[in-house]
Formats: sequence, structure tokens, C-alpha cells
Amino acid sequence: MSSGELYFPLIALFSVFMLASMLLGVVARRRGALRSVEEYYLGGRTLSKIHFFFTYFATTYSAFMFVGLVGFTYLYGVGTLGFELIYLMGTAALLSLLAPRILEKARSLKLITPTQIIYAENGSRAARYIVSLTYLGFMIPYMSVQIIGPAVVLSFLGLPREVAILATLTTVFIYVFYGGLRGVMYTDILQGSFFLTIALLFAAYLAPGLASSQPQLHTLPGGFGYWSLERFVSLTLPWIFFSITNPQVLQRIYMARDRSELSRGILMFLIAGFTLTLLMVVAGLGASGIVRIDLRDPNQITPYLMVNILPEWMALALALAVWVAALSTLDSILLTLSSVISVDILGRASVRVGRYSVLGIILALGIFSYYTVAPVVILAVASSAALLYLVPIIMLTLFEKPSGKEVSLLTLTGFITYIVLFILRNTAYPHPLDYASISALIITSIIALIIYARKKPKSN
Amino acid sequence: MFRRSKVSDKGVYAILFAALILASFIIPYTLLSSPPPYVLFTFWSLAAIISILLAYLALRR
Repeated sequence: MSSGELYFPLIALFSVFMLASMLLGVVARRRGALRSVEEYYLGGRTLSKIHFFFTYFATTYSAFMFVGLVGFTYLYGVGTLGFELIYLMGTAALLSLLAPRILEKARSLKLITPTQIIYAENGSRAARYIVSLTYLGFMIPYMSVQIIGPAVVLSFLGLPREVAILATLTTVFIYVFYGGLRGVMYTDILQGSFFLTIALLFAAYLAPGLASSQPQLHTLPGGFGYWSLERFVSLTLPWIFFSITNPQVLQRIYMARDRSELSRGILMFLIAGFTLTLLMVVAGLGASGIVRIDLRDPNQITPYLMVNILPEWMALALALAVWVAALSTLDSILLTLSSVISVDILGRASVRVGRYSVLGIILALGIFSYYTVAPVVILAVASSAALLYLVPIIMLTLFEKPSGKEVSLLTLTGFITYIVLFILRNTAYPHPLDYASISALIITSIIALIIYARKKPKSN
Repeated sequence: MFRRSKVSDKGVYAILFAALILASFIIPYTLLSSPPPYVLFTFWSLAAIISILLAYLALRR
């Protein structure tokens, strides 16, 4: 099978999925998705464990699992598993220790946006605007990854990149604009079930190659010496805190019906996340025992396998899985950022403003995706690294009641430190260790600890 | 009368999680730097399973 042969079957399959997703958006609207701001952004705070699991799972796991993770494992080896599972361990820790507290706080303060958890109680205007702008400024590259990545994969199968970008943006716009969180949630159930099934089939097909996988891939620093300790720490650290720094997953905690449903949903997510990670690493290692691919770009390994190794039906299903995995992450970030624009930045908590914000982000994203081509993983990781300075601020607001001035000081210090060092790292002083995000995290942690210690009542 | 421990349940879980994550960074780059095939795979998989069990226990409280 050569590149380009699958054009028409691919179009047919995509059209069916696009229509189904849009239809679910309309169904969500009929079920009252536009009734109130809480309905539009949070599904009325009524998500059961199943709903919570699917929307959290589909939001978290993106096209990176099928494209980046498989390619990284194929080229660089088992260090990729460590990178992804340490993320899962961090998430297990943060969700089990903090999520019930976050849910309680979101309900008592009627929080809508992820930014509000930082400023709602203390009224810090600096935090409100800087954190909102950080989310917007750094999540746009992350969103563009969700569009560009699948477009690159689909171009290997004959679908023009521009068409793939347009199809992605149109589909997600329709069901988010009309269905809000309920539209996102219904499609997440469809998308999450589909890509988990395809991941299982994909791994099963390549697993026979495990026995003859390259020995170098089972060691550190692995293939091409990629997983040096510095790189491992730099890439992994931001992902440990992903569940509280990234707005689309933080906001999902607000949506659970109660603590019991939240806890069960979290456990379901952890088990499914662990399974999906193992499946994709097995696929990457197995592929290394089946075929030698003379490519150095990890993002081109999965497309190569689709065109040259997999049977036609599986290549088609995998292409669709990559696309829906991207959609399911993109839609959640889109809705979350629209809540940030309307509630935090414009100060207008209305469904109408939120929907127009969705339209505005889609237009900006279209331009950004069309004109920007950059390595998928580097962009995605950069966005999480940029949000790392928020960790101590969120922790402090969860466990203490800092004043507005204290929160403003923390936010400004973290933000300025990161931006200055980020510019230095990308210009005058490049280094494999991401010292920009790590320094910002350390500085904000020290200040947060000082504030915390001063507030704790002195023991007798 | 027994005195309550100064470290809360949550604190114990936080320490266990932190130790597990730290070990997942340190051990592969020291003790397991040149392992036979699938040793690192098994190590990280077991660490992840333990973290899920810890999460289960922490959420049951």
C-alpha cells in the first residue's frame, strides 16, 4: 500500500465520524446544554463516575499517544515508558490527595474556571489576568499540536493537510458551540471507547515483534542516547503536575456529582491510562522487532507503519483513532479557554459570550495551525513547562488563605522568572535541562512556603 | 490515652507517593543503568501499579 491510496475510504470514514460528533452536539443542546453557564461549562456539576472517567481520559490522552509515544519508543526505547508512567504516578498522587478538596472548594465557591481557584477567595487581580493570559498564551501551541499532529499523519494517507485542519476545526466548533460540556462529554465517550479499542488492536498486531526488539531500546539512555538524565527530568517534571497545572483537566474536577463518583472516576482513569500507556509502548517496541525504519523523526514512525506495515483496515482505523484522540483533547481545551476568556478576562459569565469566545479561539487557532509547523512533542511539553510555576500557588490557595497581595506577588514572581529564563534558554543560553520552568517552580515554592509558615498558628 | 500522630494520613500518603516518584527517577539511572531486557519495563510498570493502589487507599479514606 502506498501513500495516497486510502484517500476515498478515509474521507468516507471521517465524514461519518464528523456527522456523528456534530449530531451529538445537537443532542446535547436539546438536553439543555445552553441553559446556564454552569450547564455550558460544567455540565451542571452532575457528572457520574462513567462520565467523569470518559471525559477525563479522552481529554488527557491525545494524538500524542498514537504518534509521539509510539515513535519515541521505537527510536529511543523504554525511557519513554518511564516518562509516561511517572506522569501517571504524579497524577495518581495529586488526584487522590487534592481532587476531593478541589471539588469541595469548587462547589462551595461556585467556581467555574480553573483560574478562579487561585483568585476567587483573595481577589488578586494580578493572578486573575496573568494566569488567564498564561493559559491562553501557552495552551494555543498545545492546541495547535492537536491539530497539526493528526494532519501530518493523515497527509501520509493522502488527505491534504489543509483539509484535515479544516475538518478538525469545523467538527469541534459545531459540537462545542452547540453542545458545550455535554457535547464534549458525549463525544468523549464515543472517542475514548474508539481509540482505546484501536490501541488494543494496534498493540496486538505489533506485539509479536517484542521478542526481537532492539536490546539497546531496553536500556538508558536508549536509542541515539536520547534519554539522558537531564532530558528525562526536563520532559517528565512538567507532566507530573499536569493534573493541576493544565486548565482543562483541573476544571474537570469541578464537574463530578460528588466525592464518591469523583473517586471512582479517578481510579477508572488511572487503570485505563496505565493500560493505554503499556499498549502504546508495546506497539513501539514490537515495531522495532518487525521493521527497520530509516527515519529519525519520531512523529513519522506511526505514519510509516500505517502505510507500509499495517493492513488497510487497521491503517484506516488508526488514522481515525489519531484524529478522534486529538479532537477529544482539543474540544476540552477550547471550552475551558472560552470560560477563561468570558469569565476571567471579560468578567461576563454568560453562555452567549462563552460561545462567541469559542468562535474567536477557533479562528485564531485556524491561523496558528495553518502557518505553524513545529515538532509535536516539543510544543506540547513546552506548554506544560510554562504552567509549572502555578503548582505552589494552587497548593497554597488549597491549604491556606493567602491575601490578594501575597497571591499577586507569587504569580508575578513565577511568571516573570519563567518568561525571562525561557527567552534566555531559547536564545543566549540553551541547555538540555529546562532551567526556566524548574527555576520558576523553585522560586515560587520557596515564597509559598514562607507565606504558609507565617500563616500557620504558632504551636505552644 | 494515646496521642494522635503529628503526621496526618494524607501526609503519609504524600511521603509514599513522593518516595515512589523519586525512586522512579533515581533507580533506573543508578542501579538499573544497564539492565537485561524488560527489567526497566517491569520496574516502571510495578511502580505505576503501586501508585494506583496508593491512590485507591488514599481515596477510600
